[in-house]
Amino acid sequence: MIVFTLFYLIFGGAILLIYRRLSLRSVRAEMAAIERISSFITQGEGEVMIIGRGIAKMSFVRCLVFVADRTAEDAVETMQIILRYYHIESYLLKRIEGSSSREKAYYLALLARLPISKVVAGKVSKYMKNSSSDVRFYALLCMLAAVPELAVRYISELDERLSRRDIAEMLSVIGRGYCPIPYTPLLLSNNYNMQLLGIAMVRRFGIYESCKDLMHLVEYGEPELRMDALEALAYMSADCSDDSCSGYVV
Amino acid sequence: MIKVLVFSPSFRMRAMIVGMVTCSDVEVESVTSRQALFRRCSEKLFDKVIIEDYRLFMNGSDAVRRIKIHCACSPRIMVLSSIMDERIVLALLDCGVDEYILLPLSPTRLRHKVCGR
Repeated sequence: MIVFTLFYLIFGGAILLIYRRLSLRSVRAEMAAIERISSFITQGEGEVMIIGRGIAKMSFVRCLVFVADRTAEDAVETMQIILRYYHIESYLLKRIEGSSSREKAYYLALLARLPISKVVAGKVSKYMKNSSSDVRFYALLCMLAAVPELAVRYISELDERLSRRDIAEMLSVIGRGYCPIPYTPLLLSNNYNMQLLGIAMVRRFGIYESCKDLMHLVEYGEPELRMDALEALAYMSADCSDDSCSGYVV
Repeated sequence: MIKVLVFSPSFRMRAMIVGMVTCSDVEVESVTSRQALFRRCSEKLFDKVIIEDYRLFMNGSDAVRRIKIHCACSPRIMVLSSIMDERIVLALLDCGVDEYILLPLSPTRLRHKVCGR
């Protein structure tokens, strides 16, 4: 009995040690890859072929997504050099083809966060008809990331209502630190999704000039959106003494 | 040689900042915890300290005094964050942070700010 217990303890300890060493090794590989990627996009030049060495391709993609999420528009061109050299777009599109819905959504989410080319929009449009809502949403995000100029058209053509979380994710994709599309057409449209996006955008970027449009939404907008518009006004410390807000402000 | 200290709880973020600021004129160190940050600042005089955790200055830990322990004007404290709230940014600048850099950041601008080129 004691021998068996000792055996299991030693065996379990060995498994934990191996797991820890492998985890540390993958952490070090990721750190080195992220350093090389950051250095390359900062300098704008260098040897592309050494960036992805010593790391599994999927981990390398996650490192690229991490850096792309946190760098502004001026690093996009250099990032695209890395994407083209390592054929990241075709790699992810291939992975999406033969995977389950959950994995499809995950790979589409990764693709959406990279500075992908316009060609990708055409290749992922077929997933807009997928039975899984997550796959449909992340396919939409990919199309927005590939062609942000057509964001308004894509969103207006949606049949289902987006949630606030969806809108927040959308904003992080279509606006890498700056306001990507005019907010007035969004706020004044009759489309629920576009109004929600407009409210989130003006709140995020603190666009005080939109207060009049927000007041209009508080008075005439859909019931579900009135509180969002009022919260955006409050967040921007706008003057809520207008008659349209009188029913809500104590 | 410009001495830079980088603090971030996330290993990926540390690696990214180190990759962006490293060049021939810059000597970069990174730390993983707040205690290590304060200890390192008391042991060595850095020119710039880049911090990715703005809450360090919001919890009453007197972080600015402990970072600038040797001299009131050095090191230059730069905070990276994705928070756009004007009140938080002003509070950070009021408590002694020298620069607030918004995420997503421009790698070339960050290097220019650190290297001064």
